Amino acid sequence: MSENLARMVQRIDFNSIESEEDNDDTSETKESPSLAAPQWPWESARNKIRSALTEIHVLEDVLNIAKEKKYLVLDPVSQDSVDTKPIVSLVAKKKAFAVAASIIMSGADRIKQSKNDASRSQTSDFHSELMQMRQSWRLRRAGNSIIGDLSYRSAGSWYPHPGNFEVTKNEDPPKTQASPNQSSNSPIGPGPKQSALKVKIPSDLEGVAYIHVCVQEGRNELDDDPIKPVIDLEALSKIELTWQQKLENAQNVLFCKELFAKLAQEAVQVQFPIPTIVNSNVIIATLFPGIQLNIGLVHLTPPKKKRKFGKFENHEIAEKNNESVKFPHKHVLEHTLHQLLREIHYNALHHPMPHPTTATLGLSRLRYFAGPEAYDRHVLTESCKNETMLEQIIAQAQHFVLRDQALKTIDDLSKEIKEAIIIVHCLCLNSPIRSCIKIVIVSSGYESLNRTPVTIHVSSKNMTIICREGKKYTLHYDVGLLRETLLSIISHHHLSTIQNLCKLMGWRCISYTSNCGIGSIEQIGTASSLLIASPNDERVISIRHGPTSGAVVAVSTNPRDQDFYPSSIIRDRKWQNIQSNYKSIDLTKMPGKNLINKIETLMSFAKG
Amino acid sequence: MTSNPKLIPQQEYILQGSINDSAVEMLLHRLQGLCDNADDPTETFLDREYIYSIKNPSGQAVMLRVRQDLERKDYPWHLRYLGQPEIGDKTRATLVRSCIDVACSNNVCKFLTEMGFKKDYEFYSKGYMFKKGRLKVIVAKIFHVPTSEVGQQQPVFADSNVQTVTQSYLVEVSIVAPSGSDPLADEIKQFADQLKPLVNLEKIDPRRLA
Repeated sequence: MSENLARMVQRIDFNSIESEEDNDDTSETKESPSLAAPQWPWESARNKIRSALTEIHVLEDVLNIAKEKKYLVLDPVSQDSVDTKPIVSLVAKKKAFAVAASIIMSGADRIKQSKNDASRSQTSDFHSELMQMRQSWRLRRAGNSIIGDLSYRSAGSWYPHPGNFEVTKNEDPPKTQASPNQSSNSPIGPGPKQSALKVKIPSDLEGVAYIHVCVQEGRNELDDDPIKPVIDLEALSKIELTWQQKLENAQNVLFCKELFAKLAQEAVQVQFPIPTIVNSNVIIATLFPGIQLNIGLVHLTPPKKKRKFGKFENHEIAEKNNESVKFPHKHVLEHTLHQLLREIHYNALHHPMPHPTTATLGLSRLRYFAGPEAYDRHVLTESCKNETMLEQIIAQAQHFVLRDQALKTIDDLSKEIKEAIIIVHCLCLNSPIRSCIKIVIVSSGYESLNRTPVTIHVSSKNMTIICREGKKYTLHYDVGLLRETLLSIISHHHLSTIQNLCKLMGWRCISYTSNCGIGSIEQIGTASSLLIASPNDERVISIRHGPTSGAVVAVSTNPRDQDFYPSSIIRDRKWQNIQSNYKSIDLTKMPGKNLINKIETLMSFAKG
Repeated sequence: MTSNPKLIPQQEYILQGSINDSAVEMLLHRLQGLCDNADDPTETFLDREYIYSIKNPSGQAVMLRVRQDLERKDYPWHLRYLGQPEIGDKTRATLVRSCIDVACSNNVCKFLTEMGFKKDYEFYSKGYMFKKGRLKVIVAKIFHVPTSEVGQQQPVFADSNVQTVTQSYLVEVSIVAPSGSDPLADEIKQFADQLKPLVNLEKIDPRRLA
């Protein structure tokens, strides 16, 4: 240990101090060789410390002398160069500060400017727009990108399309310098010129789509494309869309695709009496013989992006469309389809809540009641029957066609028939597959005399005609039958009006037959006949009215002379009441507006 | 019941908790936001539950619960058997108990009495119900209606004669599902975590409380 310490001490370099000491006191150095003889190891160290102590003493003395200022005054040495130096350094420092300040200032200016620019155009707009987008669309972060959701899954849809879109920052340079100001002025919605957001929509959701629904009458070739899109592609490509519109369009495309996919699936699965045909993008369902319903998915992409074969095809369709639109698009039916799908979505989410609370969640009310209420098999199977969308739309389309045809028939009939006035009133309260038409038949000029009300219930496949007296005719979809029935009702109306007229004029109704067997056979229905006698029984008018043949009127006289001369043949006075022969009357030559009017004229003559 | 275990929901995954009366409003707001059909008005209910028990030959008591909806009298009553709750280890997020649900007619009480069941106790539960997918969330207050006379058959639920049991609402989040669907437990746990500052939903073993 001590050896080690000694070794360490040996290492201390006292040479420089020694050299100074050598000059100061030579006497010691001269003595040193004798002393230097290594008598003991601390010898040299002690010497050094002693000399150092001496020096310290000297230094102390000098300081004391200088401090007391009796013997010695220390004056600072003034030098010229020292005077000039502070100014130079000051200037230098000033310069340096100025440079640093200018750097900081310019940096601050740049930051400020970039911030202003940013708030006006791009960066901060990106965030605020993203916030706006979040208010109406579902967005989530996936790594560095922002993925949005277009699908209707949150609304109850099960369509497997992912329906994602990507939101990126718009890196395109602004078109005009003035535009940033403009866009900052419009807080609601993205600026029309330059938006900071860019949405990337899956290629299959681009463009415009809608469900084309039309009713085709007459049997055409199946391969004849019945769908005629009514979108002008050229105009479409020119429209600049904001992201909101783009997303809405894409969502609409997705919705239409889902709708069509569902319909097509039903068309294949459900067994209809007349099978439906699914032909690429068209579903053809037969409503009535010769009338078919075409439901097609029209999906058009802007022509500037046409690269694939399929999109060329679209363009051709559009060109074809310009020629003629054969079957007009039925907006009502399209709207119905949308409603039906939305209802399915709604029902997927809105299950009835269980009551009491421990009851099973998600059961339909009927199924929950089935056990305690002891429903039988029939009720349960009925409850399981679920009308598919296609069935519903077909029923609605059938009703639509049938109602149109019925109204057209009635219109034609009222135009055609001059004898009677047909007043038609469609009730505004109706359902998509059921409506009611009220008809009142009157004769012109004799409105208060007789009114024949008829009610027609039109459902999806048949019509029911209800008359005043409670007669009910159920007709199928054939509107020809409707026409014939109405004709015979009108025929009856004429005769009942004449009957009423009789009462008014004091005439007597002798007989009335609603289906007389005499005369020519009617093409439809049966003719009815009426026999009326004048108040004094002198004249008898016979009227026969058939739905198609019209009216035949004959008059017979029954002279009741005051005098009676019995002869060999006619012995009794009563035989005088036997009528003479009927004389037919040519109604066309009679004055009068209509049949009733003519009969009235005839009656007034006969009375006299 | 055991013939086709895949079809009949047999396990109830449940988490329970409670919240003070003063804070229940906030919880309801949050639940309405979190659950399905936020635009619809909150579903309320008033149920009455009877607990019947019978001792089987081995001496164990079997309990059956009969629940009746007092607001919708035409709805069927509901009979329920709940098995012993399994706490499980820490990896299992929820309490699991087997359950059998049967909807039944309103004379089920009489039927049970005839079978030899005895009515243990009964209570009223009044509150709000929410749904999120298959999750059922119930926020309910438990009431007790004292029956003064023995002869009185049906005590009427009215403000005048109800007694609250506690100053808080019972919160339950549950799913009834076939056994073995453990991912559902995590789903419940995630949902419960979203209610965290307001109410702590936990696995509560009723046996320990007793």
